[in-house]
Formats: sequence, structure tokens, C-alpha cells
Amino acid sequence: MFCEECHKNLATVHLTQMVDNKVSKVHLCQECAKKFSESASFDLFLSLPEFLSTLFELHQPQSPEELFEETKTCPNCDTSFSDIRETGKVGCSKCYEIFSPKLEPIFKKIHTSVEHRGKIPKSASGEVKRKLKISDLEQKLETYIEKEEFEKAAILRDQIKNLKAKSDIRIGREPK
Amino acid sequence: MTGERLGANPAEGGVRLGWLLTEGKEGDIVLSSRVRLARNIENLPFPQWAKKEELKQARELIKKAIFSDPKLKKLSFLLFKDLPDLRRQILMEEHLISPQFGEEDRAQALGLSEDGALSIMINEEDHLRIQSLFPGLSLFEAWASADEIDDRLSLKLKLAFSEKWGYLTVCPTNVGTAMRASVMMHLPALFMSREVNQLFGTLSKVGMTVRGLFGEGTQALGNLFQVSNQVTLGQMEKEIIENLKGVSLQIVERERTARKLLLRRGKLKVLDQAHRALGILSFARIISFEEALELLSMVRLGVDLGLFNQVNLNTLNELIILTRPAHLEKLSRKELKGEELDRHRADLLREKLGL
Repeated sequence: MFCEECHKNLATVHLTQMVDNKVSKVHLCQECAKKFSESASFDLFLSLPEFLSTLFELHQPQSPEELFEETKTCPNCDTSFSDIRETGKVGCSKCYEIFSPKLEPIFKKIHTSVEHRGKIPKSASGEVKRKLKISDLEQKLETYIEKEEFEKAAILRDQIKNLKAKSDIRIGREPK
Repeated sequence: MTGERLGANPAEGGVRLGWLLTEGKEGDIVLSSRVRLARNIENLPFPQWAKKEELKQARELIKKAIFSDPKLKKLSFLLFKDLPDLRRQILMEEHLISPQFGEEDRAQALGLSEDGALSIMINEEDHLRIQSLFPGLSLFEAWASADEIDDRLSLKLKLAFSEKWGYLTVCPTNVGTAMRASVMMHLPALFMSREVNQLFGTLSKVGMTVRGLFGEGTQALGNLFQVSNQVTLGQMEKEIIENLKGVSLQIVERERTARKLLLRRGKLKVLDQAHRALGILSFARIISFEEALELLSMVRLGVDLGLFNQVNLNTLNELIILTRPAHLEKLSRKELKGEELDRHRADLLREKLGL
């Protein structure tokens, strides 16, 4: 088999490439394979940073106010939102608070949901753990109600009530 | 320093291929399962933006956490300076560190278990990356192992975490569980029948993605594909793992069906291709990594289909790693260039395939 690029040398390199989740084979000689892998067209997968930058571009600043907003920096690490936009990388944990309104629409696009439901660090406060437990139970409660499993739902409702009461006591509020 | 256990001379660094040498569940098609958790330290700038001092601070905090844990302190702990180029490449070829790790001195460090089932990277893209690697389809085992390490470390470290968005990471694509679970699969029949295209198209609809052998942005060589979760926010870790396991099992089934069809429609052709592949591997005097991998894939298919039994599946697994450049250099104990690499690769293949 001859190289598909130069049609002169024998093809010894057989590459599998993937573009837009479609797979095809390319047969090349050693020399052309080298050129091929060096050229920019050899982007087999759209890398995540690229994917991100297309998302960020959808939210380009328009008005002068928005442009000014872009230059504001995080007090903890000095990163501005335009830095984040350019690199697709966030500066520090504080940035997530500061730039939260700008990041949220991007999360929606990437993840479809914007609420964390996974594990919680062991070092997190009891309050955080309780809150997340409550939101998890509330979600389960909804599915029980949808399935009309009311007995199970009632048990969950009581659990949620208890947890909420504990939270209220902790932050010094009168339990309802 | 515990790192000494791996051998001070990088040429003698032990090969940690436990994850490839034991046969796991669905081991004919699934080579390995991997779970990676990204974590950062609260309020310290993420590695990308951090100053050298801040990177060192992060490294020392994590190092302290590792050494104060009775289980984790048994890991080999390697600093950047313990990782000369060849050593780093070897670890990369073994999938124990990412290609980006340790390219320059950014106060990186690495914790590594002897069998390679567990690795902890410090100051890679995130401050902390925990990886567990298991043979075959064993996502839950890999998750349990990474989860335990994460729990141990999070007792000692103040991690960047938000109630709403979960674990905060450098890249917004990882936020939430900050977990990437992936399964490496050998799918020659699906590839030959062109079914992969359709299959991979549907994967993105269920929050999964397909990558090549070395992860993001790499080519799919030797019919090896990595299927992993894309979405990290809004689902529980166990749900993600369960979904990925389900998807993987479906792919395994489809690959098996495609293999049966392949045999029914053209047994002689498959037989011919597998034997030709074994023939070239057994007699070639120079061979590129790409070609070796494609041929090993055909031989593997032949073994799986019971066409010939003189080749052992573990040997084939091992060869996927041992035929890579840094491993060849380590074996020959000298720097190899271009055709020399191809020559040593061919020698190794002839020797290992016992012909």
C-alpha cells in the first residue's frame, strides 16, 4: 500500500483519526506522517480548552460597562475575567465567588445542571453537609411524589423537617 | 526518601504494570478502568497562575498531609528533581502521570504506589490529582480506592469547595465532582464494521466522550479507545460510575456481536489478517510504534477469537507499553534515535512473541 499523502513511498504508518466523533483511517509513509502530525490540521479531537474558548466567545463583553467589568481582578489571586476567558482557566477558589454570575451560564452549557450533588470534603462544616443532605433528600422526595409513593415521601418529609430544624438552631433562629 | 525504592538510577526504575498484567473483568475487551479526582487548596492560586513560592506552599501542604497519614506515607514520594526526562516519560508511557506533568520545574511532586494502581500528582493542572488504575472493567473498585484517598487527604487539607458548585477546579469543565472516570477498550471489530462512528456519536448525548490512547487530544492507535464521562456537575459520583459502567458493558456487547459477524462473514479473511500481523511482528527487523500497535491489535483479536493460542493475552498487554520509546531506551540502557528505536522494538517483539 502506498502513502496516501505523497503516493510515492510505502505506507508504514496507519493512523486512526477522529473528527467530530467520526473515525477514519489514514495510511502514510514515515516522512509524511511526521509532517502530518506537526501540521495544525492534525487536531484529532477538539480539545477541551478549545471547546471552552468557543463557549466563552459566546459571552463577549458588549457595552463599555461590561468591558470595564472584564478588567476587574480577583482580590485573592489578581486574575481578571478576561484572563479566564483567554485561557479557559480559573485563577483560584475565590474567583468562583467573584465571577460567579459570569461563570454560571458557561457551566449550564457544559454540564446541563448547575447544582453539585456529589461528595463533600470530610473537612466541610456540619452545616454544609446538612444543607447538601437536605437538597439531596428534597430531590428524592420529588421522585417519590411523582411515583405516588406517598408513604416513603412522608418519611423523607419528616427527615427533611428535622434536618432543617437543626440548621435553624445552629444559626440561632427559632425553629419553625 | 522512600522514592529510593524505585531505584535511584532511572534506567532501573521498576515497571509498574500491575493494572495491565492481571486479567480483569471483560479483560478480553476492556484493558483498564481509571478514576481521576481533581482537588485544589482553598485560597491558594491554582498552579497555572501561581508564583513559585505559592506552588511550593501547595506542595508542602499536600506532602505533609500524605506523610501524616498511616496508609499514604507508604507511597513512594518523588520530587521534580527525582524525575529526570527518561523516568518521567516512562511513567507517562505507563499512564501513571499525564503528558503535561513535570515538563518544567513547577514544584511538582508525585506519590506512587508500588503496583501503579494509585498515583497522586501535585501541581499538575490542579494542585492535587488522585488517580487509581485497575485492570479490566472495575470502575467501582477504582472509584472506591480514589474516594478513600480523597477522604484521607481532605481530613488534613482545606480544599476548594463550594456548596453550589462542588469541588472547584482550574478548568470549569471539571467543576462539581471533579471526577473523570474512564475505560480503555480494544474495539477492532466495531472499528472494522464502521459501527464506531455511530456509537461515538450517541455517547456525547449521554454525557460521555471518547478519546485516544493518551487522553485528551491524542490519536486512537491500535483500535484502543478511552470512553469517559464528560459531565461532572449535577450528578453524584456513583451515578456517573454506574452510567459509564452501563455504557461500557453495552459497547463490550456490541463489540462481541461485531466479532461474531466478522467471523461468520469472512472467517478466512480475519484468520489471514491475524496471522499476517503475527507474521510481520515475528519477523520484522524494523518497526514503528504505530505499526506495531496496529498489528498487535490484530493479533489480540486473533487470540480473543481463539484463532491461535500460542500467544498470551498478558504478553500482548505488556507489549502495548514496552514497545514505547522510553521503555525501549530503558531496556537497552542507552539513548535510541529514529531507526535504532524501530530496530530495538522489532527485536523485543520477536523475543517476546517467542518466535
